[in-house]
Amino acid sequence: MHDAIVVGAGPAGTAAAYALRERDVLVLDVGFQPPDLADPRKNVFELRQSEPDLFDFMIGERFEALHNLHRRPISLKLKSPRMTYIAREWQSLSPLVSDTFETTMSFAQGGLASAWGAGVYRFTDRDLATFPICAADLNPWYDLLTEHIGVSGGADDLSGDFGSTEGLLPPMRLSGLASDLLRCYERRRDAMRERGLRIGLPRLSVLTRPHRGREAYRYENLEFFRSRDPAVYNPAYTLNELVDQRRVRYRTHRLVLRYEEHQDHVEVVARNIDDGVIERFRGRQLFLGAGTLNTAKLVLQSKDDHTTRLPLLDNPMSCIPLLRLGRIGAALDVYDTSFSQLAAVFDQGPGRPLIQGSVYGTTGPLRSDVLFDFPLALSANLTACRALAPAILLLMLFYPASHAPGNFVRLRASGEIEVFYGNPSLGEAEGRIISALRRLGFLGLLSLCQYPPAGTSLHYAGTLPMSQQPGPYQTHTDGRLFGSERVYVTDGANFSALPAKNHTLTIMANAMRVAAGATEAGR
Amino acid sequence: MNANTAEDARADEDDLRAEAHYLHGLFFKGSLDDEVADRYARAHPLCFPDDPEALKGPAAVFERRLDAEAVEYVQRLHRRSPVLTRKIRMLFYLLEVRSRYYGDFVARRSSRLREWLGILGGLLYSGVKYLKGWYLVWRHDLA
Repeated sequence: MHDAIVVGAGPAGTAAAYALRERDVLVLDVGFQPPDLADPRKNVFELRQSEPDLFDFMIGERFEALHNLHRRPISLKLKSPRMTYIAREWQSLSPLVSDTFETTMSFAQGGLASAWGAGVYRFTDRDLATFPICAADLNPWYDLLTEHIGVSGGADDLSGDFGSTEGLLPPMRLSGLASDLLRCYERRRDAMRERGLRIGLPRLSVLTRPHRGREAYRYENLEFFRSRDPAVYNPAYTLNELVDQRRVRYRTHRLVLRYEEHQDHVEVVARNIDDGVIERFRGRQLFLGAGTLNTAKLVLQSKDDHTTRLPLLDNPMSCIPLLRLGRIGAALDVYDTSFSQLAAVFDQGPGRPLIQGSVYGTTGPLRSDVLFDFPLALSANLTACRALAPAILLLMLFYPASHAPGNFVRLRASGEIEVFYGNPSLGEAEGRIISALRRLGFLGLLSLCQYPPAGTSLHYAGTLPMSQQPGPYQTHTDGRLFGSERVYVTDGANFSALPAKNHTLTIMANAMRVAAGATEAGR
Repeated sequence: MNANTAEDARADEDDLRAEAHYLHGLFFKGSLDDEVADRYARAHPLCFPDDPEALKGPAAVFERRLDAEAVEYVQRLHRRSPVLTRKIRMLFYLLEVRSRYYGDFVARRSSRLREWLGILGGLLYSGVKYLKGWYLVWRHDLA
């Protein structure tokens, strides 16, 4: 019997395993791995000019990169041939039905953090206002993670929103266009702040100098094509380190189906996806970190409950293209990055939640991914795309999720997860942000804003929320599931709310807090 | 696969290769490498699974050697049949990853005046293509 069993090896499962590393820990995971191929170590534009044919690397022998032409669109990062392992087989391993919710799940080692934007933001007390815990409960774990994974960033107007700058690595280099925006903002800072807009550096788990045996980022801009870059944190790095040090045991190709709680242990039932054999594992404590939706599914499945509707939170999103006229036809920033260049916070005033944005360049993906969205004939689109690429930024806005009684997750008797999620009406804030940015020389049009459907953010939470006085299908403040002595929820499922920030760092910090607390409780 | 079916499949692939060459000529200089034309043909069963009806409209465009760019533009703007757009997009993907086409997709150097003129010219060009496409769609019943 193990001291602890952890389900899942994404950010939550890995962070829990890290906090439990002094005990006898078993991690159960499907754990798909990236293809065993050497990735090019060259800048994407140099590569595209020097290699006569990048078909295998960028399109794929099975035409993986054409996915969005004939199937339900997925994130551009997930469709390139060396990234398809991240979303591999999720529909068959955990089928989900919904007419209103566009999702992608991952059964890869590292989970969806294998293709993330690497944004790592601390929740402040304002963000945690409706949680039964406060920032002081998470800060020691944020500090530990900042050192462990390496976070780049800096002190600026957003420090109040993003928390302590202690231990940050130097910020990433900005593109010329993003530097323009920051410079213009700094010149008119007071006017912008009066309008509620604050702009500054993002916090990214991207190394700007060598750190704990990993090398610094080289601005090769291959984020859309390369499966893993050592400079960009992936939970798989931590897990592999723990496995190498024999701190945890890692069993892959195990799909956990349910658990049974007994007086002195928990029995976990898993299916070996290679041969279909059902296996049972015993642990004194169980830590669920399979992701917000799959953790909810596991709990419902274990209780054989096909009627209860659990709540669900998802960050609504919008995307604002911004044009800098003076940069049309300028030289392209070749040594660029596809990570967020800048971060923005839109403060709508007292009593109203913050909206957070990330500013991206457009140099990363293939032009064919976006060329057909331009409103001209194709030859003219090619010309426009060449001329406009150095002049366009994309501002992705994330709204806080709000509880709506109509939004739910349920487990059907057939075993599928059913989700209903209503699309909120957005647009007011976009108009005000566009108006503010116009004063900085960056043009946007409300009619060109895009509003991706619910679920697209991949930021989900709140199916088994933490509460001071929990009830059924809720968790105690220590992450323990209501009515259970040995089952803990470590991922976004136990969030009481979902602010506009990327919640991965908080998932990890909270998973560590829960695992460390459970260790104490188990002694 | 019996002899007839194999022969049909080969003929279909030949048609698709010819289609790739035709589309390439509309947008790019020089001739298309056979390797790309082969890939274009091989990608079709994946991108158009069990959808022979959808392929009829574009087939008429290629048989009659109509201006596919003009027809595609009108169909794309009016969100009509996406088949022609998808075919052209497929070809663009296959070309973009070859160094020979780098300059078609990415500006090699800064040239603000040329790019501004290019955009203005592109607006006029698109207007002409739209009118032509609208006429072709109406004349050949391609809606």
